[in-house]
Amino acid sequence: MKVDPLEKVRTDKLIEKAHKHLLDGSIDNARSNFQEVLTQNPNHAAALHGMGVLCIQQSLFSEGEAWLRQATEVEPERAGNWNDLGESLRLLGKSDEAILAYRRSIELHPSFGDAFNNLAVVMAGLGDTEEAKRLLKQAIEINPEDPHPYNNLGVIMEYEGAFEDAVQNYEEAVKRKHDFIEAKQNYAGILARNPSKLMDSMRRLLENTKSIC
Amino acid sequence: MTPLQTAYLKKLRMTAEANAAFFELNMPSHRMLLDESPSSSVDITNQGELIIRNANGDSKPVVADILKMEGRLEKFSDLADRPQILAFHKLREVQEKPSHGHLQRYHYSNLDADFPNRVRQHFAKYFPDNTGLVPYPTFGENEIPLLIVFGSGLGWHLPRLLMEYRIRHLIVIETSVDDFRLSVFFQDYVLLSRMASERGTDMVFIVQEDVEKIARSLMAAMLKSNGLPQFLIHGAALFYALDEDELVCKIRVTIIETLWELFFGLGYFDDELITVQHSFDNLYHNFPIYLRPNIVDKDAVAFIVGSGPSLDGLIPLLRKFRDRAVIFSCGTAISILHKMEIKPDFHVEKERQQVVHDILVKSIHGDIDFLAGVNFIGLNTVHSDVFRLFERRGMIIKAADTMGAMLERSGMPQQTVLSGQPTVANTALDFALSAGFRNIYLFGVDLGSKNKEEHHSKHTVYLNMLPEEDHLKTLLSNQPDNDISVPGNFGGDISTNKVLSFARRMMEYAIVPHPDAKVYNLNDGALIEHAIPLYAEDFEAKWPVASSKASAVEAAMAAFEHKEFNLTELRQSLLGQIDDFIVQIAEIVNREQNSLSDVIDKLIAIHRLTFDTENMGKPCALLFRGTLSRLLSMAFNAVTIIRDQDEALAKAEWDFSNIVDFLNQARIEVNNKIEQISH
Repeated sequence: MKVDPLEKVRTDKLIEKAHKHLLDGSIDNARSNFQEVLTQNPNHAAALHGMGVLCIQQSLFSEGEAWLRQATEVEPERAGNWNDLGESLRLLGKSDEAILAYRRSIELHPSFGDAFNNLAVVMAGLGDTEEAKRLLKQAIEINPEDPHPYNNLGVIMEYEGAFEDAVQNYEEAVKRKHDFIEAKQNYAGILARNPSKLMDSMRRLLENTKSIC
Repeated sequence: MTPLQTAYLKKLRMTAEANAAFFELNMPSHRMLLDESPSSSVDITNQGELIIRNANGDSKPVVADILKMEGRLEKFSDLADRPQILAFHKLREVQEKPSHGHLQRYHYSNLDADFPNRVRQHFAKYFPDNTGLVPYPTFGENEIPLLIVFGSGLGWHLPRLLMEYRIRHLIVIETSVDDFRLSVFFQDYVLLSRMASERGTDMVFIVQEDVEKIARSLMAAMLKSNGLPQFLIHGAALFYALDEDELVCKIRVTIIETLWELFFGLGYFDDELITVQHSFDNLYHNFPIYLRPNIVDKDAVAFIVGSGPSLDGLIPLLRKFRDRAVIFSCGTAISILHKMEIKPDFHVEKERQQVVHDILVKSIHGDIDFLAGVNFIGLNTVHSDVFRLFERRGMIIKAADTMGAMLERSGMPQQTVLSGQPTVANTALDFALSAGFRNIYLFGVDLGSKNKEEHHSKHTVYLNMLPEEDHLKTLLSNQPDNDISVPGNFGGDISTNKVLSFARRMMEYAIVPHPDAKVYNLNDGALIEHAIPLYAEDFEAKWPVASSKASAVEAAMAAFEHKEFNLTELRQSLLGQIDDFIVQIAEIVNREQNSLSDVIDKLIAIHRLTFDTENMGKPCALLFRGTLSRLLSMAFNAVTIIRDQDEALAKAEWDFSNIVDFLNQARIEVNNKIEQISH
């Protein structure tokens, strides 16, 4: 038997606990749980990954990159590791490396919507808005309920002056996640700047409400 | 009597009648108990009091105990308050280098020491202290693998317990025959039995006032075919339907103290591995095999000579009649016979360790010439070096033995495969009876002694024939304590130990199938039922008209014949059966497990592969049952005290994997040991 099932149960429970702490914002507790796992098994991929995510949350991007690189070395076939490594690289401004990481993630998991969305953000940042739009549409196709690609698509459309499409994408994002602050701000901002779009937007919202009724 | 009273009485009597028919069909011994007092019945007095009236006219009121029982059921429902039998393994007693200690040199395999040690290491690693453990075994929601109920009472509690808990095995112990009789009027045992059947509960009633017999019946219930696994005794819940008095305490203590017997005789893989190698070696040497039973003249006389303390006083008798009876020397008795210059006709050995050769030679001070003319009889388990000490030799195939089972499947006649356990005197007696001797005298077969410290003849090798520094002395000094009292052959009680007590019972079983045989017990030791106690001074008066000793010896030797076995096929067959067995175990191990109940199902399923009626005689069941029982028991011990269910299931997964590893390793060792013979 390669992995002792009792050790696995205990480790899984610690990781689960750490993830809960991450969600709660109890960063110190999460760090302590991940470190406990890593003391037992320095190559535990989920703990390495968790430490990376934790560091990104604390804006410790370089440290995050280091943990996530280790995670991809221990578990190179896991798309999530590459996607999050891409995030740390993007946040460090290492766009080329980030693109490679996201592409590896998509290669491993072709229906991984987050990776498409994140790659689109880098591409847009590099000025390739066409590629970014294509990727975001793919992300929406993969998971139509994810609000992030809509919001990002809205930003690109607004940047390109396609206000009508931008408003509609912001609407779609907010509809899917009512507490999506960034999308709400984008939505409010574009309507404030383009009051003529306000009535159409209200009408769509009312129609949507009717259809729900 | 009012119409209601009349109808109620009629109902009670009809219930008793139905129960009697039920017991007659299913539990004849209990029906006999009821028959002992056929006119016992319930009645209602003029004052309207419900009474039980016995055959002798005595009567006593029936006390409705339903409220009392409710209180007990409520108390029982509290797990923290529920009495349980605890039989913990020392799960943290890890050994640095597991071995058989100073006896290691006599063992062929270390797996019996190593694999349980791995279990302990694993447990100690994850549970170095009691954090994460519960103090008493738990089995999941309302699950009770084994429930022992003391008292049948009026029976209210039994259906309640059956319905409220998932009980796999229910044993009801009733110490009062009167109370049991009373219960049959009130408890519908037919319904109870159906309920048990629907709930999947195996139910056993033990109605017995004698404490020793209760313990025996309990053991029998546990060991009966398809019965409950021994490891379930750990955590067995106890329900008291009667007030806890001295007798109940005594029964409980007796049950706990005799637990060891549940594992007695199961042996170890190492024992069976030695057997496998020695048997192949003995077959390779083509020693004659016992094949022809009942060949000895019925008038022949056999003296079976053990090394018990009575032998010292019987030596003159033995010397006087030595030329008229066939003398069987059993194990270490040869040293006394050598000292007394009485040459036996046969020497018998049963022990498998190679050291038997050394002991034998040392016990006759290296006087190998003494063995000239002595015929040797050994079980197939005995090392070939011992056989080769003698010019004429014969081999008995042992029952309940891996190779015995293999050879039976290869054409050995079943009636010549003998038990021969647990002492060498049992081997000699089994053979003598089977070969046709009908006049048998037991010399020095004491099976215990009046003096607790003395259990062998003063001349025996056990006490004074070996030099102080000799390692054999250490080996032989490991004698079990004398702590059991049994009836004496000439009255009174004698002290015996667990092995000799078992030997006594096995002798009784051996004599029963030969009602025409007279087995005389000359010893001031344990009473052996079906043997005839005989004082030395009455010996000559009972002396039969004996046939020629020489012809009896020749006839006994003629019972052994050469028989060819294809050893290559035998080896392939054994290994093939081991492979199949491992596949069966792996299939059980791989079953899904989502609860502790699933784990217990698996443990029981594995146990049944070695203990079910259809399996217990199979070579692999015999080869693995001892070590498997221990590993299963340790796993059961551990998983039932781990607080977190996920951890308990994971621990079980590891333990199951350890069992499969053990079997695979054992398979390699079996193959290697047989391989050594062919080279």
